[in-house]
Amino acid sequence: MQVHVVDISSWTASFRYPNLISGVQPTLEVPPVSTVLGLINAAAGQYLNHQKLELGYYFQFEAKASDLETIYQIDSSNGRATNNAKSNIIRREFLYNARLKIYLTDKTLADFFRQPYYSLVLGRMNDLATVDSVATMDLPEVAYSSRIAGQVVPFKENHLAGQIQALPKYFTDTFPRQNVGTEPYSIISYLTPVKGNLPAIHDEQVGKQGIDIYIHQLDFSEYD
Amino acid sequence: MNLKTQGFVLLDVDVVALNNAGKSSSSNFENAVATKKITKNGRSHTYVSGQAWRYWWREALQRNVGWSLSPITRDNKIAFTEANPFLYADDDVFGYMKAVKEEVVDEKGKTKKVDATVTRVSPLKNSAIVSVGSARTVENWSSMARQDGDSVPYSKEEYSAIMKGMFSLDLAQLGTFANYNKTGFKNITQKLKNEALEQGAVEIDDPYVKDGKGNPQKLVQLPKDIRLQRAKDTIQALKTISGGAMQTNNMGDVTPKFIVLATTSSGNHPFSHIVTSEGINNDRVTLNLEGLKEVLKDYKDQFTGTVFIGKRSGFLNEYNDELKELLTLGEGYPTVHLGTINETIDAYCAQLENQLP
Repeated sequence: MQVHVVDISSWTASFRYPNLISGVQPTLEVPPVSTVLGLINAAAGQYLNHQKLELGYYFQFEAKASDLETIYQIDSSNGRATNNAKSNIIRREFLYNARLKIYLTDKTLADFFRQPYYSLVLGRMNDLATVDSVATMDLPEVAYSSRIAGQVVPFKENHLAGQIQALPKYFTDTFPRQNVGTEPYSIISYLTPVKGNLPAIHDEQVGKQGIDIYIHQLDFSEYD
Repeated sequence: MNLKTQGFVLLDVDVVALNNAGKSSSSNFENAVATKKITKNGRSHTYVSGQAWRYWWREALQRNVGWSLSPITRDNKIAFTEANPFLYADDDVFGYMKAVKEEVVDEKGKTKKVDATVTRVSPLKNSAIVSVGSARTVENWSSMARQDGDSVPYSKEEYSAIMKGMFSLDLAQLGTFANYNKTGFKNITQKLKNEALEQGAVEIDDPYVKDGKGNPQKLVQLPKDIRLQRAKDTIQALKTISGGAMQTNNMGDVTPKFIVLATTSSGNHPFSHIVTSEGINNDRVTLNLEGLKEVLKDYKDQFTGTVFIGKRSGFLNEYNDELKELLTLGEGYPTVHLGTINETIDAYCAQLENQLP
């Protein structure tokens, strides 16, 4: 299968748990699909209205650490922010020396990364990232994956091991923005590869033994 | 033009505790403060969070560059800045969020309150500042002692390290504001927009966002001289930036000792890998000049103008000759300018004057 692979690296990265508001903020060990689609938008410089697209990605990091930071907790009424805010000090986890590989079948999307419009960040404002390369590869397809890691896979039907978390696929560009296509995913850290028994593509250049990349078939036509 | 300033800096600090992480859990002292660090393969890398660097930066702009910072309203449960990027340059450069209701007069002449919440994504993005190699921290015993009574012992964690940081300033976004209602886009209220237009701001087309009829949305942009001044001030502040915890006992100089400044037509930050560490404990810092050359070549088309590199004499002197080679790379590379730190910052700012549209 011909795929266009974008290699991105950053010193720090963090992907917050969607349902935790206060206390310690842990980080997901793999970004959600919506984060990767947001990154593509940042590279494109505009909000992209996808209908269907195929997307795979792999994420790894070298260490996990905890930061101490000041946050402002803002109240809301009817889904809108108010000016009631109180400051608090929280511990927030982040990942160090991170690397994200995005596999796309649509060349136009991959080409945005050759000259991204906005600065790319893996998580938050301080997680500045660098595009290391954009390349086209022919990767073999496997019918039954044997090593899935560093990715999220829809939990329904696949029932893979890993941490289960409800994650959105995308966000609308309305005000306030709405999450789109939220469903449970297995979050499989790059540290704990699992056998998938589902169709994937194999990238032997990732890790010591190669990794099978699950290709998400995203269909947003029903949300129009 | 979609231009960005991409910057990379190295700091050289001795016996500092720049950013602390609260009570230490590994100390035998009851009063022990830990410094922020990342543990990787059993070795620690000390760091300053991005938030702290921004705080130093904002303070430097106020103290040394003369910016009057956007006032913070802070009651018991309320905290926000003015969110007026026309009046306050730091609102413009560092971004904000403010939830407000604004009084408007409708067609029937009645006053009503409408939601006028504004948010602005920061045009200045910066990384954390991380030690390049592993940095061994030491727990230092201190005591608060006066003539009377018992002394109070405490400990703090200190280190010496060469640290790296990078930033990206979006020159297209600086001094340019949207007021249409999309997440992250609504920077200013209608009232503020009208005021700005009366005072010399102009409207320009948004290249991407269109209204319902297919016409481009309008952005409000400040005059060039103000935008240029804000960009230059932000970069100039690095000359005199100071900060960090425990300044009374552990004052560290946090101005750059090595700096790379370049304008790119891309959001990609190219300089993240130009410094690496070597040695058994990964504690020796090396400039990856081959990597820098590679970046200069690979992204030649995306560099606009000259790439400026500055270094303080005495810091990493072993690279002086290799750095000079960058001046004669020739075809296929952008031109490179070498100088001292402050000279380099000035020369880059002079280049900006001709680049900002």
